[in-house]
Amino acid sequence: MTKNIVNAKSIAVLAFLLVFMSGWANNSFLSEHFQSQAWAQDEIGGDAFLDDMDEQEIGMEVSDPLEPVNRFFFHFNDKLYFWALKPVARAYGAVLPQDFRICIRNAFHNLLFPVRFVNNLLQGKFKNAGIEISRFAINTTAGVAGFGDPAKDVFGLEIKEEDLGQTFGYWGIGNGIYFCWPVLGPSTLRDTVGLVGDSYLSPLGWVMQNDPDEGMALHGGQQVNNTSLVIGDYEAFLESSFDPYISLRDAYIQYRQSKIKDSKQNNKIY
Amino acid sequence: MGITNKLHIVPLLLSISMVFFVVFYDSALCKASFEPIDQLHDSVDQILAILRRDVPGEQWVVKKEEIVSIVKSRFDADELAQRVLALNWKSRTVQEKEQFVSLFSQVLETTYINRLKSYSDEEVTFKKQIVNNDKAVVYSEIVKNNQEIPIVYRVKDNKGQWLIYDIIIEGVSLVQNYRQQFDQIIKKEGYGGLVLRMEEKIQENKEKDIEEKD
Repeated sequence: MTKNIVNAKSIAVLAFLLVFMSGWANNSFLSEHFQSQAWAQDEIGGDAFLDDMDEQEIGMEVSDPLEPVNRFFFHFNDKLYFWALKPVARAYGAVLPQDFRICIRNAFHNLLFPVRFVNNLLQGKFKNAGIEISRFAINTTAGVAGFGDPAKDVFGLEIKEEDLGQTFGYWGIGNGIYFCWPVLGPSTLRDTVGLVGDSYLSPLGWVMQNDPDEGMALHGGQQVNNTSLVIGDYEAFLESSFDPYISLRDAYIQYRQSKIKDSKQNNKIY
Repeated sequence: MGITNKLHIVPLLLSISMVFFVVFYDSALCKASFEPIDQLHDSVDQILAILRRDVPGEQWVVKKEEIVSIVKSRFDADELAQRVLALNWKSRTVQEKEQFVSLFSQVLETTYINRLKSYSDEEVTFKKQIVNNDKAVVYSEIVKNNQEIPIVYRVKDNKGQWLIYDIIIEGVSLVQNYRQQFDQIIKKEGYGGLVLRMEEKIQENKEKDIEEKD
């Protein structure tokens, strides 16, 4: 009984941190890899132009019944970034050279291979799943435990980023309502469920379940490392917006939508 | 299957076309191109050249002015503003429309131009274009900290010049993002409230600019 609770707790913490990883704090949702090739498959008069909203519509919207609560946590996260994450990441960045920090980011990314692999399979993208296997094999060996990315640099194998939230979207499941989680940042009902599911596929998740302290330390390290590479992005985002809460919500929804659209277009090919 | 095969050729075609681009870059043929991708590429190259120019003692203000004039000649401020206001555009008077176009251009200019200062080492590549009558989409990519960030431009033909009316970064449309924010502000504070907010923003950005100079 107790063990179950502990387990559930560690999964919750893990899910928490996982969203955090893809959440606003390190802005990775603005800077993550993106399969630009998928854009290249638009046909004339195809999706690219269907998205060309005319003056009549407001554009993609998400239901946000919890807006007051979400706004509260948005401000909470904002303070968390400026008071804790940013100063720490800055000091860390001053000590470690950038190239080295990029290698560490690569290594963490390499570890999340099972998430990408399984979700490619779940979407029936067997070729992309194969590419992910090759990437993992090459980068883990020739790339020295994933620190380098020779799979891309030498073999031209691009990352096939997929997660469970995207898989659900690919299956036609909508966003549900919008959440701005404390610490984790923007998400939707669909993507939150996806993240919890993905955590079972993540080696970092397994560490977390067996040894929460070590898991937390690893995740914290990853956050600080990745944030150190994107310091300034969140500040720039704040500067350019009139209502940062709305702006972030819309950016998150548009970003996820474009990823799911990519997913669908990839399927046309493979 | 045919498409799959084609895809493999894309990198090859790209590299060949890059070689051709470099070879013929100086020829008049290429400079007078009517292709949207070439026109955008040309503007971006001009801006990068200014950013990378290293003249001792040259002030940022000088560079900034040159960049602003290139950017302005490449943007369709009317179209952009109209799309940002969306449903709220029609109910505006002629004066209000003019004022909004001018204010929104200033907002974008004061917000984004200074940010270019740090964008000199990044590599920009232009991937492809899709043209549909007087509209086109141009796909490009910028590499920052070893990560590729896709940037897509929506452009409209204006007497042989393709002008930008939306920029989509990582799948996020600038027009839609501002549209959502402005829609909320107009609903809560009215159109007058939005104008005030824009004026405040411009003032704020200008003050920051002065602070930075000191």
